[in-house]
Amino acid sequence: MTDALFVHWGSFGVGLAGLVFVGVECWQLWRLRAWDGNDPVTRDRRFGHLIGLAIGVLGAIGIAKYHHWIF
Amino acid sequence: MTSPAPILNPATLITASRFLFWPLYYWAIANHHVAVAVITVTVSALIDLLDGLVARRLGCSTAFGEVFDAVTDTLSHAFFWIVLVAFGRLPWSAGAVVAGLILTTTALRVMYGIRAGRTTNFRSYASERLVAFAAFVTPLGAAGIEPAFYSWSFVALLAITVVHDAKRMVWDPIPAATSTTGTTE
Repeated sequence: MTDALFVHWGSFGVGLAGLVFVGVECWQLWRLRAWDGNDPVTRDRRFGHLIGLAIGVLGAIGIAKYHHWIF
Repeated sequence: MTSPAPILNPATLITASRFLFWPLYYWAIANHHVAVAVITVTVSALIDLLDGLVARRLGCSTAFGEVFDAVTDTLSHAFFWIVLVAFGRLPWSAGAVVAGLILTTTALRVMYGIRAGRTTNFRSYASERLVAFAAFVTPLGAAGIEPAFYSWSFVALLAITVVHDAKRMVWDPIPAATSTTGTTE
């Protein structure tokens, strides 16, 4: 497999990973909805999942940009 | 409670093995072997998961191992980024901002350890996700996939996380010592 082909197919893997990240982080945030919001650990977990969600979205956007599907 | 496991144990040796990837990665970037560079970074990131697993399975978690894992993680990602910046694969300005933010967060972690009065690793869920993001940004930079977009996205999220964690490390009460995991979970 050439480097160009590796990068081309690898980029789809990254985009897919980004979407999976979005799904997992949304699920984790949903699970935390009933937890005590005054607990610092719960707040930190929620913040972490929000950052994870942003990473997943940015990961997918970057791949869409690379393939000129957007922008 | 800290377990009596020795400092040199299978988990810390696995953590230390990540340094062996540095020369291979440098060679791959310098000689434009994109696939080798990407695989090297990916395997290094997978080993980061493996050492924690081994530490838990073999019961050899130590406070040293936990901090050593965090330091190795930071140094490895810093090295991978510096090489990419040096070879023009990532924007140097983004690399400089990331270096500044990592130095800031390292100083804050040291301050946290001094406040706690023990060897301890500050647990941040957001930082753990950013480590995963860094493990993606590096191969993406090596492969030339939107390096500017991903590196500046990383800078933005890292800056937000440093500000968020700074409050917890400097002002918030420190939780009581619990069992160590050897690595970030």
